[in-house]
Amino acid sequence: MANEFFKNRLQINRRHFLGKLSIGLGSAALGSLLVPDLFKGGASSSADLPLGVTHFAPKAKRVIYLFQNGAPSQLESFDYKPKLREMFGEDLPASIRKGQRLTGMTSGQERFPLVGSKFEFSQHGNSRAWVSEIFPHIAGIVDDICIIRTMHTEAINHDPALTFMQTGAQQGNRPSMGAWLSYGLGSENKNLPAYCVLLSRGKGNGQGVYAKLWTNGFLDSVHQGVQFSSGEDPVLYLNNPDGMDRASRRRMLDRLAELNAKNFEEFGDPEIQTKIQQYEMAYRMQTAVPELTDLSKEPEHIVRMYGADCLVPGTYAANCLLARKLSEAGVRFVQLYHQGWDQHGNLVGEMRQQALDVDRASAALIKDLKQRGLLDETLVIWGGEFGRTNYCQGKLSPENYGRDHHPRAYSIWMAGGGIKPGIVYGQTDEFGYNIVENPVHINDFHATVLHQMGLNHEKLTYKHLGRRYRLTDVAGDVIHDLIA
Amino acid sequence: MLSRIAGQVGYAGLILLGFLLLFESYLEIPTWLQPFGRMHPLLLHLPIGVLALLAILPSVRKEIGDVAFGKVRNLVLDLGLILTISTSIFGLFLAQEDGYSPESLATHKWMAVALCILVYGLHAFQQVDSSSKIWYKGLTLLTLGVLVATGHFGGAITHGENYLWEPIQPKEEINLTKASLFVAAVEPILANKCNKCHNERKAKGKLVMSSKAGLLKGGESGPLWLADQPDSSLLLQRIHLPMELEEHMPPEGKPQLTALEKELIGEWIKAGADMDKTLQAYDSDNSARQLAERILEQRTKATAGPSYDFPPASAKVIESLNTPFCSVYPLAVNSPALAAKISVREYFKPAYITDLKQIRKQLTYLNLTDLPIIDEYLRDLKDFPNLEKLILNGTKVSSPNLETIGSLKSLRSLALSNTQVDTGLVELLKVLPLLEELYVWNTAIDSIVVDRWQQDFPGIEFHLGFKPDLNEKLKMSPPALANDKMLLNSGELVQLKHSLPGAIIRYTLDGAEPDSLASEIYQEPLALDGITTIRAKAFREGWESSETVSYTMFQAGLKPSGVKLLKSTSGNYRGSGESTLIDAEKGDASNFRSPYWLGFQDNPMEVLFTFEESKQVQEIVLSYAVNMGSYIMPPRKVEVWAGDSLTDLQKVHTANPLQPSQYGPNTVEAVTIPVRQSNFTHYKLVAYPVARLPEWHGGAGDRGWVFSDEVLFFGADD
Repeated sequence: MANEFFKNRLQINRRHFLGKLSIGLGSAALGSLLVPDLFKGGASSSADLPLGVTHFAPKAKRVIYLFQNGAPSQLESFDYKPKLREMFGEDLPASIRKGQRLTGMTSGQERFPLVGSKFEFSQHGNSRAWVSEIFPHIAGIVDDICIIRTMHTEAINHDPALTFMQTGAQQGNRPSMGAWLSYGLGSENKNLPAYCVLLSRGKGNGQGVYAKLWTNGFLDSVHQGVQFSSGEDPVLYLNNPDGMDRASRRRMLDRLAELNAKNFEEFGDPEIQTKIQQYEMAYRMQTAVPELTDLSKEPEHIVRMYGADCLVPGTYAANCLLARKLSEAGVRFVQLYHQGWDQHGNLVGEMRQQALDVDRASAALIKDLKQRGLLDETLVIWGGEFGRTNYCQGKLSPENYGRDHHPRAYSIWMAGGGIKPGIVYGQTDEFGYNIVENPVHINDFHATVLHQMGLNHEKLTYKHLGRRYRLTDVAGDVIHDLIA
Repeated sequence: MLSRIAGQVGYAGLILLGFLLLFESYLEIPTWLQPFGRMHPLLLHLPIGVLALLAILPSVRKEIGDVAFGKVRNLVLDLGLILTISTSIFGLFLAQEDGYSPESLATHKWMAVALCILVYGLHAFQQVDSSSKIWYKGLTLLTLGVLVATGHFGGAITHGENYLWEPIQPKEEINLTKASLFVAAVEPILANKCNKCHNERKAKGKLVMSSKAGLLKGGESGPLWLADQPDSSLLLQRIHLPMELEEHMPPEGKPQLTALEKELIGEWIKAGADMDKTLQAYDSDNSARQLAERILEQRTKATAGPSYDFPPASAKVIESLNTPFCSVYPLAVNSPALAAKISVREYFKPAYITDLKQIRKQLTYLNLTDLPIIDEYLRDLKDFPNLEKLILNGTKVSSPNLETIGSLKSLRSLALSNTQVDTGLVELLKVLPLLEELYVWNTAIDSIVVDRWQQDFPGIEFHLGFKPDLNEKLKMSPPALANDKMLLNSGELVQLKHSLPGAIIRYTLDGAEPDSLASEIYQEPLALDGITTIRAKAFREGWESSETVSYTMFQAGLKPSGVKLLKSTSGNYRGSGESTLIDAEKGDASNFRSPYWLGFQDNPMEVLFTFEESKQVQEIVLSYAVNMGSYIMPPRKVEVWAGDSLTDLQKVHTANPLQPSQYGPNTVEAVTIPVRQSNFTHYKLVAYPVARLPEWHGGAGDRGWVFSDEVLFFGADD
């Protein structure tokens, strides 16, 4: 059938051919008369920029995203609001709340009693940043990080908020941050995936994480985040089975590639190419990964820096150490998820334990990157998907309380990768409810991260279902005040 | 008929239009009529579309025939007349609203009047057979021309003169050194965000911002700023109003000013709102100048990294250098600068470094972390004139050669952490004039040496990295169970492990807390007898002891040949079916939703186990979960029935496991039921869930659950 169409196209006589040719050339000539720059193809044209290379020289080459899943309370970590303590038990004024929608968990409450942090805050470093007592190690590196207190989002529940934070929209099935970076830049080390995901679970009230958060969306499936297992072998079935050596494995893969290539010629399905590539990468990973994931040879002071947990696979500390090693080896985007921050109740008890899980290791990661000269080229992000309310959810007592979800203001911090260190950006009101100055929307955050990686967030696009998509969708401004 | 109506309407409409035009200056449109005026931009598309048919009709005349042609043309003229007149009248209403500059409006208005008259004329003389009368054809053409002109001037009012051609017109470059601060920084902001509604043709609030004179003059509400009172500037007030207020500028829905832009305008006004003063003329610490420079920097230089002027390397060479173990990539899409990274220790070859000589001139960044590189392999790194950052962390270099590394004159950052370098490094520092950063964590170089060097090399930032505080007492991580199952087959041993070298594991088997003095030290895998709870803790000199972990280990017993659930599970807790109870897989009490557990609430757990041959069973162990927070309690009663067939069973034993008296942690417990020596083939086990949760429980009075993951049978010799 294809043959017939092809032959038909070839039945063209000279008259038709020349006629069409002249119209084509003529219109091109006309175009160039009207628009002198038509054939220049310079950066001024909105043509898509080539992939695999940055749009402009980047500060950061890699990202490590320490995602605190469940939404840690900003009022007990980086946003000090003494007024809330003074107003303990008083109702949240309507003038402050301004009609913010509530979740189904607190909408039935008659009162919204304000409650301040049970933990003490103090100022640290040259930046005089306020950090709560349960994060002593992060407080110690406050001059290396940039605390943003005015992140805000529209989503009020975990799934849409997580999806928003990771993929740039509340609707799902869009590529995640790591997938976009993998698409735009690829991996520095061809023996490792460009996007790795490490999970850990704290004892606090947890919310789930799922593959949608590191999906490739509509991009090629080679950009999907590779989730490492939290057991002894981070990558399962990596070793050859008994009786098969590397040479046999190589021969097997070569034959398999031949068969797949034949299939590709016949069907043209791009997923086949992806599969061939994945097999090849898996083969290389067999050597590259064990080099990295062998934590047993880490020197003593590394263990003292991260804490003893860093040698126990599956803990947050071990994931931080592994993240450093993966990033050092060239993985473009390493993402950690630490679950258990959803303190709707028993905040005082649970959050102390959660903070204990992550505080030391997060600070250690920054110190570790810095002492190797890698902090400039690695962008480290720490934060959750939204904040927590300044009023109590459930039973309020001076000893314990819970907080519900709060999208209007929350805190994250960033370090390295050209971000200005030692500053606190943004200001919330004294109730810790509304943003007063310098809001940073998730789209702005994404735009800034892409900017630091050397990509113009408006130009990294992918055409799907008839329109061009990008991580920041139709919004987002790079926040230059955050950049050193 | 329509024709006559159209004629009347047209006649009356023209008179009305004339009247309105004559007394235009006295016109005051009542508010209820204003919406009609605003319909003008909506309505005008209709007469344009309808009258355009006049141009198209003649070309289809042959096809549709003269009669049809005549009828259609008359219809077009009828409709066209009514529509044109109505549109013009509404347009006149709209013109009474302010914000439209009189000049551009006037042209459009009189063109529209001319159009009305022409269309009326065409309509009046429609009986004329247009094919023979040339003047009628001419009139039609004239009408169409005026239609286009009217439309064009109307469009110019709303969108500005250059609307069509603007995107392809070349933009003027602003010469930054000579241009004034106003032209370079402030004017573009106004052009982008204000001038669409505040220009010469369309001046909302009678304010023109697209010209210097207009800015100085101000609008209806007054001047934008007063020279002597910059703080009370109307412009600043408006842009700083909250978004919800109508007076906030720019209006909602239009692009807003960024914080930086607002600040710049404010500072510029405060500094005197001088439109001609150049950037340089301001003091260097003047905030207006600083803000302007920031904005300019953002606009032009933010996306341009450091610029390099050496020629780029050939694409073929770069491609050939890119192997699975070596990555060479440009720093940016148009940049000649290259970066390289070599990976995978096991496959490293010194030739990879030698190959990089081909891009000697273009390489600015080289990452060789953790590779087995000795000093000798670096000898080909000589004379890379543009290499700025070199990372050798974790390599085997000890005294980087002066001739090679020392030849890298552009080197700004050198990372030698975790290597064997020593104080001999100072020689290298002497020959690297541009070096700004040196990383020597975990080397023989200590803080005393660094202090000395800092004095000699004030321009270098030395990084010694983390130094452990040996007085800090860290907490040990707990020991872990090496066995992957909690159920031991016969002869299988229990193995504990700890990832930290030098850790001492102490354990107890009697349920007591392990302590650092009396408890047994774990040396080798343990053989356990029956169901044992092993509790373990990790200790190390100078470290705080870990949390205690406890594991309840079960032994595998006789495996029944058949199992049948006589009463079904409740809820969705059907595990992996009835075989869950004999699959030798144990579950975790915190994770009762897993396939290892069967859950019962609506009815007791009633299970029949059959053996092919009669077995001497001495003990039956029921393993169950305790998860008080989820209402899962020990069974309040357990019965064992035995016999040789389902109908012939006798109750053999009843047990009442101990119920907890307060909340506790989630555990897996077991009840061991002794069975008199009996040889039976059928055993039935019934476990009753707690009917009412105790008083102290949060769900007091509610029904409890029984969850079981395994039932074990032990014979005489087990």
